[in-house]
Amino acid sequence: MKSGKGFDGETISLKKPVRILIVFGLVCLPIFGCGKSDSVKTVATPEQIDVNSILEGASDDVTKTDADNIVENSSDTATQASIADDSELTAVASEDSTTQADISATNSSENDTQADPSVDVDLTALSATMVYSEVFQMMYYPEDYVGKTVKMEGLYDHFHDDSTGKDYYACIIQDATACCAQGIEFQLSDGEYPADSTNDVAVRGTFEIYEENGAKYCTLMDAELVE
Amino acid sequence: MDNLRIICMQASFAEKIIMYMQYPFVRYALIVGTLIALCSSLLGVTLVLKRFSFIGDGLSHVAFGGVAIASILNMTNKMVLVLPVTIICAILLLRTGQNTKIKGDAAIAVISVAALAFGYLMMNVFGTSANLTGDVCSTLFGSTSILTLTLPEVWLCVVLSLLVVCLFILFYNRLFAVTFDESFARAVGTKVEAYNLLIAIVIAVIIVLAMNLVGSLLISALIIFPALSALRIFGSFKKVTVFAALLSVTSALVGILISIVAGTPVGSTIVAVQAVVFAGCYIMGSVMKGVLI
Repeated sequence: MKSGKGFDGETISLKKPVRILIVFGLVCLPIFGCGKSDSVKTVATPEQIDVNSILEGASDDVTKTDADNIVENSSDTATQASIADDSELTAVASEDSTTQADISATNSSENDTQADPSVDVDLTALSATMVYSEVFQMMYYPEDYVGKTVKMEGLYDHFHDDSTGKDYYACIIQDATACCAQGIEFQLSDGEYPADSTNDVAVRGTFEIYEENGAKYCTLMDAELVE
Repeated sequence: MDNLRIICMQASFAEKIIMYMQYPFVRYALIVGTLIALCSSLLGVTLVLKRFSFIGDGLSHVAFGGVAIASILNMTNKMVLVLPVTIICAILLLRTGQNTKIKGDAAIAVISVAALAFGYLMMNVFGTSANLTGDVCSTLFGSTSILTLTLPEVWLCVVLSLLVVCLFILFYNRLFAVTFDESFARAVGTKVEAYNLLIAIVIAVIIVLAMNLVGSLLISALIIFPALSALRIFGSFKKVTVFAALLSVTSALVGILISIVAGTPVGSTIVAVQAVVFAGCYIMGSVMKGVLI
């Protein structure tokens, strides 16, 4: 077998059968290891899975209903206390109410980023990077999101198109570096839009596609402003 | 109390990761990012040892020029243009650098800055994008490119990455010989020019793929950092290669996860993680006073 010397003088060889086996394995990987094909365009509906249930290996049995209950219960400090030693935390909880308040404050701030179970796609629970990516998916595969309720927050924008004479209102989100931005138009059910001086807006509506002047546009129908 | 807070924070981080993993584009990003990092590290060892560390930077700028032209032409799949252009430039740089009047590093600089300048100029003059700055920024720094891959792009990246890994494994001995001792390789009958051509093509493919992960400006980090980190600790070519691959893959995974949870740019986060790892390996190597094995 031809071989060369390494820079420390050792002779290098990698047996051909081993190499062929490794190559064969790599070739088989995309064929057999790619998971469900029907989940390729699955729209994610974030289901809250309690860490405790994961630790107990019960995550497969958690249904969405249970996930909702767990989301509600996760704000309870007793649930959070079960993550650590129960006896120890019970003693801590009974001894120091301030500590409980700290935990609650921490949990409440964490709960603010948890997904709203009343909507299908809650962009307010995601990081800036994820929001931009998810909106990209919504723009690229809009048919997967039609009919789903979407909640998002971002910069408020109002545009009046002289050619159509219509007003368009949108919620704009930016990526992490704020150099790229995209948004979704929304149409409030009550028709009472914020003033143009408004910077930020949070809106919840049903994702729909419509055609205008030969082009397709995405919008949140029957939308409402949320706090 | 602090331990409990740390546990709660870790649990929150784990919950977020599990939630984000349900998104298909996150899974795609992790798969493609891992493969790209693996390919980059494998060839990075060869490039660093051949003193071609900045070839990645040069070729990435050429690829940027290709992306600019493809954007002007409103091409749906920019890879159709970017990949051949980058491959051609890689061949020109790596095959002719030894015998031309303009030597390797100068040739890289000439082609690199010219491509970058012409690319940006053409995008400004002929571009039709509504957000030119955003497109340029995204291409240069890859803030969310890896998370906005379409399914065909994912498959293309996976196939090309696996092809690169397979080529590296199949031709490991010859690539090793060509890297360290071209004269010996030529003397024993190895087609050195052919393998240099193969290396050039593979590098070009990796550069084009890596633009999706870290952007044009940061590609050199993917190539250089893992190799340099491994060289600080190990002395064997095989051990350096394996350790570099492990470091690169781990850094890419950690970087992507941190970026999606913390909302930071993906490319910069990955490179920052690699820089920290390099610093750690540098210190470790210095403390151990050279090579372990």
